[in-house]
Amino acid sequence: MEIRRNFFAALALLLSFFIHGCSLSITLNHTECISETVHFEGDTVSGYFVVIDHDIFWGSDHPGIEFTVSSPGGAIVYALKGTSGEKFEFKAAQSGVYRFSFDNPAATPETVSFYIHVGHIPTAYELAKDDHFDPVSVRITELREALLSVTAEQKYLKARDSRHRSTNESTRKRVIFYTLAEYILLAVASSLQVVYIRRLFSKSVAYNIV
Amino acid sequence: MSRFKTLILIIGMMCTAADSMRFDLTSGSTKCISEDIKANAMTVGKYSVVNPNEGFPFPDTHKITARLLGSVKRKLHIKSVKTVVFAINIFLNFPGNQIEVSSPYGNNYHTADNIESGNFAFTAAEEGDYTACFWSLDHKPPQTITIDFEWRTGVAAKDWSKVAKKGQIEVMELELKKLYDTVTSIHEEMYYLREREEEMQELNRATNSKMATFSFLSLLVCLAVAGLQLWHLKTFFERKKLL
Repeated sequence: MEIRRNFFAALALLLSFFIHGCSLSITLNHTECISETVHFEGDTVSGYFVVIDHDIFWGSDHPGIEFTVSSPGGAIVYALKGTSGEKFEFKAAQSGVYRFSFDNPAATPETVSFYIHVGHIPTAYELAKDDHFDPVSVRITELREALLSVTAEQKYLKARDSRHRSTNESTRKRVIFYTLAEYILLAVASSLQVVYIRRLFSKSVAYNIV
Repeated sequence: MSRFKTLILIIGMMCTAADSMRFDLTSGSTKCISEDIKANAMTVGKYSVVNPNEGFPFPDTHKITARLLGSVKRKLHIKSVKTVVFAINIFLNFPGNQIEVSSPYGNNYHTADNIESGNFAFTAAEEGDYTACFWSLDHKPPQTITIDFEWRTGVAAKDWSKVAKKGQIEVMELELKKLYDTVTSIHEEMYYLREREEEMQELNRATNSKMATFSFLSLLVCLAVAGLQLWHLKTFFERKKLL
């Protein structure tokens, strides 16, 4: 009987320590949905998503994607439109499977880098059920959650930096090639002008009067 | 004695308890998930197809094929080129399991055909984007397969049960060790971010100077072209005896 209690308490404690997030990127053609399980009610679900732009040369910028989070009951908990990257956090009102959907309104596929983390801090009540565990473990869990949020913030920064980098490289390419194109066009336009004027003056005597 | 038993239970639980994400795969389509992994980082992944009929044997229509490919991103310097090698092999469904492991540059790290679950673990030799691709054959009627996927790298992938077994380490001490490792990885990540920021600053400065040079040059080009035009037309009209 005691072993059983120990087992469940250990499981509860471990689940609190081992709820991981994952930092991944997917190619978004039209709609992609990811499901995550929230084991305990009142857990904090946090994360971010960043659209990594490809090098856009001639066209205009991407309009942004749509992001929705639906609860196990089907209600929409969190919704964002026309955004190219956001950090989100909400408290899960019910336990179950939450669905995170990304929707790409434009025709071009985009790469989205995202990270979702479900964090659970065991309450004093859960620990009091079994008196083999220290209250220190709550503090350690809080510390772990805080460190994981720092890690998440860092990953967000890294993803944003990568997008910034691709924007900068696109700027550089545009500066070089648009300027060269401008020179060439200028030379072509002026030579066309000269050719036209020469033609105007080469035909008949009537054009002697300038 | 019961404390020891609790400890054993905890250590036993450590390698199994984890959360994972799920996504849907329609039959005949491909889904790829990629992750940026640093050099010499341990990475562990596990995937399985959710059995649509609980308790019954696994249907053949729900089996998937998985590939893990590596592509190397060279250190993004202004002059260098970003190398992305990505290969998707769409092929027929042959029964049997084949596993092969090789090195990056677009090669396979893990191959598994026509299975319902699998896992992979390796140490990334080079920094780059590693992609795990899943696809399933086209079936009529089209099936939607739910895949349970979990991919951990770096600190989260470390096998803590081995570390705990080395001595009778207290639970608290193990947790604090893990936190210390997390902090160390945060610190290393900061170095990487700082490097990237420096590269970006260099890039921006170069773009700025390029823009200045090109604008000045465009003024000169404009003046030169206008001067050439005038000179050419002047000599043309003087030859035509109009001026």
